[in-house]
Amino acid sequence: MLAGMLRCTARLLPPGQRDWAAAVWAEAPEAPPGLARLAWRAGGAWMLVREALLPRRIGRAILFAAAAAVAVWAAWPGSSASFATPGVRGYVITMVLLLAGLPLLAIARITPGPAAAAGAGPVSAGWAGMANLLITAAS
Amino acid sequence: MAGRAEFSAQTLLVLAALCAEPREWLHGYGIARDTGLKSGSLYPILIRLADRGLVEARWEEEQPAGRPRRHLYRLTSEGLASAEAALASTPVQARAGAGGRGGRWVVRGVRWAE
Repeated sequence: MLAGMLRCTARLLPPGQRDWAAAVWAEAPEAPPGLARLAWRAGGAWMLVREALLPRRIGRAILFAAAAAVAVWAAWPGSSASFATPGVRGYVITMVLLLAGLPLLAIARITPGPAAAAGAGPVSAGWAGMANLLITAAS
Repeated sequence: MAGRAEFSAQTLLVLAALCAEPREWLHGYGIARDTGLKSGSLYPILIRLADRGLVEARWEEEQPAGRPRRHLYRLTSEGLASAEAALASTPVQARAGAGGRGGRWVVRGVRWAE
């Protein structure tokens, strides 16, 4: 089944990258039979799915847009009668802008590579803010 | 010249494995064994390195008995220069936490930039 899935997914790769799918498959007999070989093939399948279906930037952008939409939907106050409504709306808008801005700031300011681990701080802060927004909305 | 900051710790492990025998063509499972990386981590790294022209790849020319032909990899001349520069500029303390087998920056017995 995994073999069939791997071959189908490989067709989704650009022609120049299909060799890589075949390469993972060709190496599988080198791994000891059993779990190690299964893990090798599963890793290859995951690599193919990631390369073919989830180019990083697109995947992250979709994830962010979905999370932001859910957060706004959950936190946006329905009634404008309350004096607190404009404040809450301002909070929601500020939080979403902050969430959008922090990863961009991290990407622009921090060198790619190992140093990018430092960029996890602002990004994590953004996701923590998103969680905070959802918790606030739920309470 | 490429510096260390261009490469992740895992990429440096792969470069170190390829650098250990720069003229030899290595296969994916061998690199995975030497670096401790799983296939799901190793192949994306090899793809990026090949896209950047730092690694060249080819298939084994002859069909071996009893197993499929392997895809083989080695550093290009540009890749070798980049890898050597990156590995030479890697601080010892960074290498200590770089990962790989046992968390030590040792690939095939080669300790880099010491």
